[in-house]
Amino acid sequence: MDVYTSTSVAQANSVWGNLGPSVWTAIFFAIAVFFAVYSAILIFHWFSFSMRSRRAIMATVLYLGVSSVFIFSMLASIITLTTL
Amino acid sequence: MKQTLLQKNIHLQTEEAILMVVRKHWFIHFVDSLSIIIIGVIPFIAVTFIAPFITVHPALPAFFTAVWMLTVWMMLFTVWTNYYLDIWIVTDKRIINIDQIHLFKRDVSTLRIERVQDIKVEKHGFFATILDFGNLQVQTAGPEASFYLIKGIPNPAYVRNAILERVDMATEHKNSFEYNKEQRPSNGE
Repeated sequence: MDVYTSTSVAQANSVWGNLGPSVWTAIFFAIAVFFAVYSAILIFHWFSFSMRSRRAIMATVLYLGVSSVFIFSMLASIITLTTL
Repeated sequence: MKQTLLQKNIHLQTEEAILMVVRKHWFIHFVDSLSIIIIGVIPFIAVTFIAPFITVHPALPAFFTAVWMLTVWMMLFTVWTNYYLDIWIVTDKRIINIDQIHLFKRDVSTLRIERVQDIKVEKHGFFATILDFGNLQVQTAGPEASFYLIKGIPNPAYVRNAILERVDMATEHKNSFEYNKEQRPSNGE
């Protein structure tokens, strides 16, 4: 076990552990902005070119519903990392 | 609703009726999605095997897993979008091929039904035979004979028969029209 918890892991811990709250906030917002832009393009495609608007609505609800779970998990992890 | 949205995107001619809308077989989509799902499972396997040997803040793997899963989820829907918007519409006058190559590349081509000369059905492989999907190779008439390939459609024999039936009707209609045109002056004499 000691072999694996040696220098590289310790360095990784120190690198990620020493990031300040502002850096984590910036990382989170960068991911959120990328997600928002990409999602807007996807949803635009569904509503512009799809033949059935009902299916496009269902896809949007499913996509945003599951994505929000991942985004809240990310947010919760960042809050835990920066506060605890 | 379906007709309205189609007309908004494709502009059907007056009195043009849609005979069928064909999308790629679900198995093609499943194969494309499977590789992404396998990639999505990687962090869970990695965490299971590596966790006993390292000590990191528990929120750190949770954060990276969430980012990874979000990326995989977006990729999955991108593949689905390409699959869902990639369609062929067979009308009584044309075959419209909407090829969604990726999010920023969409080709729409049209083939008039009178130009169809022959249609060849290709089924390659075990799954294509069992699940009944394959390619349609449409040969066009004219000075420059060309091929029009429709890949991975379900029940290709049925689609071929439906198109050929419509081609026969169009040819008969054209022949009778030309015959009447030739006969009309002689009737008047």
